[in-house]
Amino acid sequence: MDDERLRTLRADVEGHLAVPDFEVIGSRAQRIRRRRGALAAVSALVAAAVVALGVHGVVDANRSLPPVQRPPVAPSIDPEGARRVLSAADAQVDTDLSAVDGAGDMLAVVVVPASTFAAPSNGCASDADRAAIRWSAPGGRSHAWVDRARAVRPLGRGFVVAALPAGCRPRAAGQDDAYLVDRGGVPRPLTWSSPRARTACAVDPKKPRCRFDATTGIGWIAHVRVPAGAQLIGRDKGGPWWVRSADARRMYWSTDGTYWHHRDSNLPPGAIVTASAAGPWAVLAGDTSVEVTSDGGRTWRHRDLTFALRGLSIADVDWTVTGSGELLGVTQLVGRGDVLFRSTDSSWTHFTQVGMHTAFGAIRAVVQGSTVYVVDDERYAVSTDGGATWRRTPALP
Amino acid sequence: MKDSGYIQEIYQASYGRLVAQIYAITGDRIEAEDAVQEAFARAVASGTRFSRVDKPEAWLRTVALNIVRRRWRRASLFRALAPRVATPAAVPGISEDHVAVVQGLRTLPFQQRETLALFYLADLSVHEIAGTLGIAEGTVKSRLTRGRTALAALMGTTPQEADHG
Repeated sequence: MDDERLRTLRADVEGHLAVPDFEVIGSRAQRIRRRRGALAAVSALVAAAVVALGVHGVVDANRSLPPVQRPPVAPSIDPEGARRVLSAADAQVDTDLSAVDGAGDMLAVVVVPASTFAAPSNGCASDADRAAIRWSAPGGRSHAWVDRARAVRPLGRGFVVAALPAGCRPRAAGQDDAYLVDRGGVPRPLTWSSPRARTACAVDPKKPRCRFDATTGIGWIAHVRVPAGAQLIGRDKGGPWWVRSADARRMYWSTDGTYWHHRDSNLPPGAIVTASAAGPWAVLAGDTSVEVTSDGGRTWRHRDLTFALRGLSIADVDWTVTGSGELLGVTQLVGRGDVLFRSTDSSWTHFTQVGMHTAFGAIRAVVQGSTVYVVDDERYAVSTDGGATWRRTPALP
Repeated sequence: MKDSGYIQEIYQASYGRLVAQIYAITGDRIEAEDAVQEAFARAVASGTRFSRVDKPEAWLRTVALNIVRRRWRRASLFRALAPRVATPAAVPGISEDHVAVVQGLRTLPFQQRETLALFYLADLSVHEIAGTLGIAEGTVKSRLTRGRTALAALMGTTPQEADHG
């Protein structure tokens, strides 16, 4: 009897279900692509070190120039919100927005259903993008607030949390701007370049020109001008500045932030290319073909990794190089989700799969020096030995 | 776009079937539709890789299944702290018998629900279910038996033996 009911349930549901327009799928796919795009741009996050030397200086300058003309604790942050967020069954970590700063602290942005929250008080028409921002550190301490979803950019110590999109801007400018969240977890409002600005900038009030765009991560950083259309990747102390083109086919580097060298990928058009750099190391890589420099761009050599990758199932690899020369790849395997593997020797003659894979979430590898973070939609983990051993951090919501 | 057209064809043919299968597991139409739409979105986002998949519907089902499993696992961590009070969304218009079956399924352990759904609604064999869920065939059979018995007790009927697998 029950068997029959179960067997006929499918046809009954199918018969009463309206198939949504395929555009719904298209727009969701766009979001996933953007997330994967971030994989290629991961290097922008790596900027931990860069920004440690660059933006941190700007932020310090701002601190001394009174950028904060409002209460030290931003009014929209709700210190009691964490419990509500954690109790939401559908809470998901947004890997696009989450970031790790140069001091190893994690800012996880968690998207939760709008119904978890009370009605918005700041005049934003859409309430669909409510999010919690949870700040935590590998050591286990954490702070949590509730806020809206915003772009997050890592600094050397702390983060810039971008302002709300223009459509969600509060009525009075200056009420709910971008924040600098410092290491102590204290959010400090930053000023806007203008009330109608379309991007979120951290601005020196005495020089009302956008210094650093927290939404795109592009701008003037400690007197370094990033080449037009290119994105900052990172800079370790004493090393070159690394910048990649938007399509990841060209890598720029500079020792003074003014004069830029560059190298183009020799992979055929259409090939998926990733550009990654840390310390003196940089790679322009396709699935198995890698151009690499280990001396800050002075010399480049080509490596074919086909033989080194024998035994591993790969497709469309996103490569990340660490500051100590380990090469990590993330690939998506059908039916197994994203899989991380790493080089086991300094000359990259052998790779091994790392036991860090998710069911079907997207993994993102973030590097700062020789420290590697793996972030997915459920958790993050830290490795300080190039991916050989991992320390799981406290579970994310 | 060629890939998009290919996926659209599968979408039109499989969407309802997949939602029905996932709905039997979640007991919530919105959650089921969301998981299936996310699976299709991942297929679109994966570009040409999806076109190389041998059994696209099985791939989509596995992805959707993993999405609901992950949500269930995550939700279970917090369920004790904050029981979910929202009423699950039903599929309007289905028979009362089927509404009762879905309500009954919701009271079963998650593993039994997904096994029953794959067996009865996705028409998978015990061998195929074992492969999909990554468990032993014996475990599949045991979950089927327990699930059927529990469901029969809830519905006040007598459990029957399966006829495929």
